[in-house]
Amino acid sequence: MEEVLKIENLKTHFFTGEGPARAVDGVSVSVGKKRTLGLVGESGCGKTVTALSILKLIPSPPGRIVGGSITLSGKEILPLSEVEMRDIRGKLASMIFQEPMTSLNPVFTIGTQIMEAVRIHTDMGRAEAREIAVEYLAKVGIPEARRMMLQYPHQLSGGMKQRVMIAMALCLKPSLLIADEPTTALDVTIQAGILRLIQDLQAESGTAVLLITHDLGIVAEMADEVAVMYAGKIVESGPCISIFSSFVHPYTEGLFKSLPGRTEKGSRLYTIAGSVPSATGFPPGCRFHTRCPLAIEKCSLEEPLLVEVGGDHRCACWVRAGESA
Amino acid sequence: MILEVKDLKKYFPVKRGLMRLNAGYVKAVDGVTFSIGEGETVGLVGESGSGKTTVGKCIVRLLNPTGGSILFDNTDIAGLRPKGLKTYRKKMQIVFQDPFSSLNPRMTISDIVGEGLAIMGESGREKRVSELLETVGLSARDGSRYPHEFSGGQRQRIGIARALAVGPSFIVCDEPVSALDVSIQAQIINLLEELQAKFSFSYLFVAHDLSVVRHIADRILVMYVGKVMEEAPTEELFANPLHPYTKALFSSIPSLDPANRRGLSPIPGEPPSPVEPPPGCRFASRCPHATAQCAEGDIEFIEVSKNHKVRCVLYR
Repeated sequence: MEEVLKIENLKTHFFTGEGPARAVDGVSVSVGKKRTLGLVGESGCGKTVTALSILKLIPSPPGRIVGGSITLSGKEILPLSEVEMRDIRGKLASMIFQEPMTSLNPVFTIGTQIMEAVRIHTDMGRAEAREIAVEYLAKVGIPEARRMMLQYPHQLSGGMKQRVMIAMALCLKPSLLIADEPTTALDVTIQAGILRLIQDLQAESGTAVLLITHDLGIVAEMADEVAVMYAGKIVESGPCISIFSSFVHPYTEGLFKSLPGRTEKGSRLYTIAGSVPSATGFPPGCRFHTRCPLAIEKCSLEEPLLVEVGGDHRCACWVRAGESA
Repeated sequence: MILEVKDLKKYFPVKRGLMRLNAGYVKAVDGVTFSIGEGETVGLVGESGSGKTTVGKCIVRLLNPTGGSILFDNTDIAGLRPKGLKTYRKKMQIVFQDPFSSLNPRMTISDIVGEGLAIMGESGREKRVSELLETVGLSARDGSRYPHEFSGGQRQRIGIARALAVGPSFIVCDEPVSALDVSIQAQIINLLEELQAKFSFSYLFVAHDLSVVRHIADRILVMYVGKVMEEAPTEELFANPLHPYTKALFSSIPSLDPANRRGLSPIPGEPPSPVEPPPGCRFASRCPHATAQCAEGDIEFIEVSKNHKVRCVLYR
C-alpha cells in the first residue's frame, strides 16, 4: 500500500509551568492513498495535537515536537524550515478545522480567501485562481458559486462555511486531508452532506483522509482503519470492521458501551469512571489504569506495548494480553 | 397532565435601517401544541433554527410568548407578570446546553446553586446546597470553589443541582449533553434518569442527537422551522417514521455498523427562511413527495394511529 502519511513514534510535548505536558507521546499511524483513518478518543487525548504536528502548526513555545518522524508522500517533514513547510501545507497536506465560524477571516470575501490560498501555492494569476475557486465552490455544492465568491463569512450558514473550508482545503489537490471534527458544530442533516462530500472528493482524486472525531457513528460510516487514542498514546488500532465487531481494549470498550444507541432503553448507560487526566499528570504504567475496571498491579508499573491481537488489529493492554493479578 | 402547551407562538421582530423600522417577523415558533404528563420525558428534536430551544425558553418564561397558552398545573402562565410567575419559577427549571457560559465565573458553586433558594427566601441554605451537590455526584466541599475549577461534565452537574435546588416538578433540559464527550454524556444521562426516578419530575428534553433522545424520551416531537411535523411514542417513531422530514432526518444518522454501511443521504436544499415562511408545508421545497396541495394553506396535524400524529398531506 502506498502510504501518504506515515507517523512513527511521534512525541509532541508542551513545556508548561507545571512541567512537561506529554500531549502526544509515541504515536505511530499511517494512512494510504484513498484510505481513511479514523482517529478517535475523548477531548484531551491528543488527537488535535497529532494533527497540528503533521502540519507543524504547534505553537512554539510552549510546544515542541521532541521525537519521532512524520513523512508525507515519502518526504520527511520534521527537519523542514518554516518557509519550506509553507510549501507543504495546502499542497501535500491540508486541514479542515473544527469551527468553520472562527477559521475564516471575517473581513475578506470567500472568494478572496480561496484565491489567496491558490495564488500562494501556485504561480497562477488572479483570473486563473478565480476560476479554480469558482470550480471548487461549485464542487462542494455551493449554489451560485460565482455570486458566493463576493459574500463575507457572516453571510453564510455554518454548513456553508464548512463547505467553503473544504473547498479551500481541496483546491490544491492535497495528497492528505486532515479533517479535525469537521462536523461537530453542525446538524446531522448538514453533517451527512459534508461527510458525503468528503467521500465523493476522495473517490475522485484519491486523497488520503485523516478523520479526527469523537463520534463513533461517523467513524463507522467513513473509516477504513481506526486508531483509538487515550492520553497521548494509541491504545488500539486496526481495520474499522474489526474494531467495531471485536474491540479489545477496555477504553475502546468503554467508548462503545457508553453510546446511548447500543444500550437497551431504560437501562443505565455504561460509563467510564472519572475523566481524562491532565497532560501534565498522566499516570505511570498504562495511562488508562486509573479509570480501568480491569486494572491489575502490573498496569500501574509497566507500560503495555501495542501487540497484535488479530489480522492488523493491535491493542496495548496487559490484561487483554493474558496477564493476571 | 402537568403541562399543556396550546398553539404557542413566538415571533421575533426583524428591525431594519436607521429608524429600526419593523421589517417583518422571524416566526421561530409558530403554533406548537403538546402536553407532558407527570413523570414523563418528552423529547423535542429538530435542526438548529427549528425553534426547539425557543419552545423550551417560552415554557419556563425566559422568553415571553407572542401567543398561545401554557397551562402548568391548570394555570395559564403564558401571560403572567413576574410577580405572579414567582411561584411557578419554583416548579419549573431549566438546564442549559453550554456548561461553560451558563455559570457565572465570579460566583462560588454554593452561591450558584443556592441563588434560587435565596431569592425564594428559604432558610437552611447551606445544608440544602451540600445535600444537592452530593445528590448530583459532587462533594459538599466543592461549594467553595469556582466554575473554572471544574470540567464540562462536572459543570453540567452543577447546572443540574441549581435546577433541583428549588424543588421543581418539571425541568427543561436544553441540549444538556451535546457539549460533552460520550463517556461523560453517559454519566449525565444516567444522572438525569436517576433523579427522575427519585423525584419523579417531568422533563422536556430538547436535543438534536437522536440516539440520546431515543434513550431518554418516552415520546418525541419532531420540529421543523417553527412547526411540529410529527409526534409519536419513541419506539413507534423510530420503527415507523411517517413524515418525509422525519425519514430524511433518520437517514442522515450514521449507522454504527461499518460492515453494513447504508450510505449517507443528505436532504437536498436548505430550510426556508423563518421570516415569512412559505404557506403550506414548510418542508415542501425539499420534500421528494411534494405536490401542489402542499403549498395550500395550513396543513392539519393528523392522528394516523393511536398517539402518532403527523403534519403531512400524504396522510390526509
